[in-house]
Amino acid sequence: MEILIENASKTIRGAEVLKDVNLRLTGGTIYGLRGPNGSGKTMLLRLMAGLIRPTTGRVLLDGKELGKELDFPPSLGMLLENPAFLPEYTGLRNLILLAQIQNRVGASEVRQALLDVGLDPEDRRTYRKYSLGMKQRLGIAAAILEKPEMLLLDEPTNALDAAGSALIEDRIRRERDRGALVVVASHDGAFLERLAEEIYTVTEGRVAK
Amino acid sequence: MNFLKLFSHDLRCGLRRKRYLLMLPIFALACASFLRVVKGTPGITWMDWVFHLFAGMEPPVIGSGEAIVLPLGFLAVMGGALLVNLDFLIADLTASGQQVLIRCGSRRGWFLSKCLWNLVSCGVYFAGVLLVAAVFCLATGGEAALTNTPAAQYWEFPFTQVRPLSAGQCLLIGIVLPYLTLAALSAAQMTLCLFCKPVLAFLSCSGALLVSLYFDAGWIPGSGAILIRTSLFGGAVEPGTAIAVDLALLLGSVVAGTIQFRKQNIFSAEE
Repeated sequence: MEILIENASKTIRGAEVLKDVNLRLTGGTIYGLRGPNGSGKTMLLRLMAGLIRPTTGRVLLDGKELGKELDFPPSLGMLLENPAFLPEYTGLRNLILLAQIQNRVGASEVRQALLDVGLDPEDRRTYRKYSLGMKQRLGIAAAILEKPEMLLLDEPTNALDAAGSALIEDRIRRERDRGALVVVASHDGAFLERLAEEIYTVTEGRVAK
Repeated sequence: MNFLKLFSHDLRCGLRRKRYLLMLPIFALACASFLRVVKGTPGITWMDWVFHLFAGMEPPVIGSGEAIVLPLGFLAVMGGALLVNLDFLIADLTASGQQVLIRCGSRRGWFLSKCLWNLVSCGVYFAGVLLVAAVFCLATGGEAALTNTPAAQYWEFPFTQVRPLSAGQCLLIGIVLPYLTLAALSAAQMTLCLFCKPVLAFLSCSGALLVSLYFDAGWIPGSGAILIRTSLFGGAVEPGTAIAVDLALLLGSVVAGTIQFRKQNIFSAEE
């Protein structure tokens, strides 16, 4: 899979949050986005996810333009900002409900996704009672659930302890190894240095290597 | 994308909200104001209770200097539906619904599912109204009939040409028109939420209700629910016109919302 961003800018309420972004990202690689809060990292991930449309320029996914030929990348997993799930249901139930939309994976894969991020599929607690770290893990489980070709993760180690971060790092590498295009945004430079093969710096909406 | 899965997800998320139950006391209060009529009128039917809820008010005589007394029960029941449905789309769009949206892969499909949910939600709300009216009717010894008692309407609306209506006419103005009006205003509100803040969308649609109470014209959205103004009671609102207005508003909202949603920026609640 390849994502090509050509001269993309995004203006929201008069403020240019992305400025003339040009990127070419390919599958089987982990890309890092670093930059301070408000620099445009999340906005760039939203652009790649098809959640926002560029004001100028375009985003191509394997040659197809997002917003014209495709509404969203056809095989996308994402964790943007804080994970959000239905508070009355368990983690397992939440993931099953999501998986049912596409019907690409069954109950056993859902359980495995939970195990992969260190959550117990048999945990009877509802999402409302999850700790912040557990919510984050569930968000990552949802992102990797359907083995997507494109994985966008925004601050994936938020609220995780050292062991949790190591587990997630390992999980992200495994996603890369099976050929996924992985983009990780983080303000934690050391984490990105360990994980990413290419790192881009986002400053006031501009992206540079 | 499996549209049925998407729709069932919306039903599950949208209908499990407790605010439907919170509305039941409001319906009960609106019904309670009819008790004084019930005491003095024999043979009250279930449809009379429904008529009381959706009667609205007689057209005000503009310039007469007479104080306008707004039908609070009617406004609470109608406005309540708008409030119940107000934030589902935006709340879902800025939270867990994003995961559903990227999985369904189609902005149009996602929005249409929300439109369908809106119809069902209004149906559930309306069923709650009808149920409370039935409970009051049976508890006060009324008949579970689909016809009206003119004396009951005359008591409340002495300047209206009240007359007995057939069951079909009662169903048309007591159930079909109020439901369609609710669904149309709620759909318009949902689409407006894509253009402005939800509170402005709510104020716009509840404002339309107020305008329809003030002006006696069938083309104003909201008029369809004011059954005492229909031509069946000698009023200016033709049921056919009201149905056409409601359907136009409903379909117009769906089309406008679908077009707007294709280019909508989608953020999280914090952004």
